[in-house]
Amino acid sequence: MNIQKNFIHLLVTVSLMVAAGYSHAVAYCSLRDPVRTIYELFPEADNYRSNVQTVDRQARRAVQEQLSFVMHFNELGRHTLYVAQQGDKVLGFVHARSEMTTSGLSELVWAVSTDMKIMGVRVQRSRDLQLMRRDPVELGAGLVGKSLAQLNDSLQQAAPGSLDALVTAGAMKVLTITQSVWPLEVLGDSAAQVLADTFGAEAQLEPIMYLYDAAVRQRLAALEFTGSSIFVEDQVLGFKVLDQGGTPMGMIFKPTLNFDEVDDSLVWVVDSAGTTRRVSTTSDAIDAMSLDATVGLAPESLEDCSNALELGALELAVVTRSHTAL
Amino acid sequence: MNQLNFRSFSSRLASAGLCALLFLSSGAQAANPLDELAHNARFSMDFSTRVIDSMGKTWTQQAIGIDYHKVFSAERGDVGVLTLQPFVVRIDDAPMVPGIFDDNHDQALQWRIANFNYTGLAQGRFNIRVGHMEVPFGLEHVIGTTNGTLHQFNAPKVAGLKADWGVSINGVLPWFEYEIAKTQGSGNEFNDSAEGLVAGRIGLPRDGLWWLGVSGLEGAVERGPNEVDQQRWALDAGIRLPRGFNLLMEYAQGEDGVADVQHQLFELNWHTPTENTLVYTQWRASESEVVGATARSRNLHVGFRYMPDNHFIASMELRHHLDAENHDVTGLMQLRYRL
Repeated sequence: MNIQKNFIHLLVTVSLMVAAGYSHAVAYCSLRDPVRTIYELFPEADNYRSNVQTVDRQARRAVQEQLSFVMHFNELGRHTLYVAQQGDKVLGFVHARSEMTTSGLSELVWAVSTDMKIMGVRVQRSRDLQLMRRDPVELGAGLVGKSLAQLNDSLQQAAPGSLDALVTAGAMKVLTITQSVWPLEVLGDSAAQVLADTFGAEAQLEPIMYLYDAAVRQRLAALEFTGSSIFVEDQVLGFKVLDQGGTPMGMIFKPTLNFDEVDDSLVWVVDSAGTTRRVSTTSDAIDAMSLDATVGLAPESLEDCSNALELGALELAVVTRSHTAL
Repeated sequence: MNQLNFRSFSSRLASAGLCALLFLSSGAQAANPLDELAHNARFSMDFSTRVIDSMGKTWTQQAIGIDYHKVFSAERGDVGVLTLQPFVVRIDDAPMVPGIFDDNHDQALQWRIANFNYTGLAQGRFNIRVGHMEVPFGLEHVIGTTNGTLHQFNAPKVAGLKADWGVSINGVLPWFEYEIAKTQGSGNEFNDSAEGLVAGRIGLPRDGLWWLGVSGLEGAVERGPNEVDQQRWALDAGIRLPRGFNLLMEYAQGEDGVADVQHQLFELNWHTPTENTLVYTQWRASESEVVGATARSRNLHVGFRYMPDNHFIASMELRHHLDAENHDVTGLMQLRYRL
């Protein structure tokens, strides 16, 4: 029996069967989890879970279109998002990314909260020895707690080409890529099922980085929607839901309610007509019956709303109609 | 091909597959087995062709293989990592016959890496690795990217072999990392009747501005039909210098049977800012002393590696054997493509 021929046949067959996606020039035996850094960034974590996905050209396009940044070829391919956990409670995410400094490539490891804010940064490896010697707390001081929109404001104020500008841009890239490549992880445990139940198993997600853009604000203003939102604006994450042909079907949101005792465990689904299709939460602080009462609502104006949650449904309907309009 | 027992090959492949399947139940998130193969996994097909010119002769080596890396995860965290790198390697017109081949026109199945590292015990502080692994000794263990490359760190000479079948405990702690292995000493071939060896390395974190490591090894290593008793200790260190330069050092000392041996390696390397080009120069010196006779070997290696994207790697290396007759120079060129 010709063993090497059989082996080569097996190789070819397996390679055709398993999605190769993007390759990695260096052998995979050299891959090492940033274990030390994960537990440094999340000291209360007692385990972490890896989620390997492909950072593909779509993600690269999202970064280039939304942020106007260029990605190094090494940033494409299979990459890992580390989900820091305490038991089975998700504390946040850790992601390593390469940045091109004036001295060359540097690898930064980022901690990101479940509502997509920067929690910290560490320099894993760098040609820039000054960057490696920099105190990590000081390095991340201007970034901690900031969302993408707030980081964008910081970037406008940073001196072009400065280390602050570089690190801020890196933070923006991490948030954009995390939402582009790992949307279900960002949305949380129930999101995959909610999405499949509402739009079908083939639905795809596309993150919207700036939900409350000029068009949305104009629509809200036209409705005289000047009351305080029940959502914390910079803590509403939104993803467009697309069918296999790329046609928008609606949006799925992960909003944080403007109540002290509530955490970020709300998932809100709206179709492209603005109808609330599903609202789910794992929080005991929210009245589930009240949330269920919003399902099926497609408010068009303030007059259609009789309570705070219905106002929330109106707000998300406006956002959805604005972002899914063909 | 050498007398690779098909039963041995298939039993090893089945064992690796069984290990993977046993842990699928803890992390399976897809009903389709093919989806599960791809879940949390990286896969490449790896092709390389190498030309070597040495001692006035030119010969070639081709290799084709797979590189499969899969993380097994459960709800409460990662359970382990499976890495499989089986390659078929072919040599033609080789002036000598390396250990895994039968003659100088031959091909052989080479298990570069084939192991499962169980990480579900203690947050990465105490893991258990089983299978074919790099012997934890010296610089080779730290750098870890030298499988199938021209750029090497002298492991076969310093430790006796580069990779071996066995079991290890390993982990990463805040201030150091370690791995201690018990392996068979038989290299590519599985030989559970061999005496085997114990090897280990403990060192400072490798991703800092500088690092230091200490290694030890004791046992028997197969060299052809014989087993050679080896004892060895080594010191390795690395330092990141400005502007992309790095300095690596290794000193090893010990015994091979009745011979006292000593090995030194110094490397200065430089990456371009985008890290797609690596240039390096290595100084290697070895000394073996048996009563009444000392054999020395000094070599200077100069090489470069060019990697324009995630698929293609071109490498070249010149090895100047300073103590050889006529100061022989070996030239190597390799093209490698990962699909």
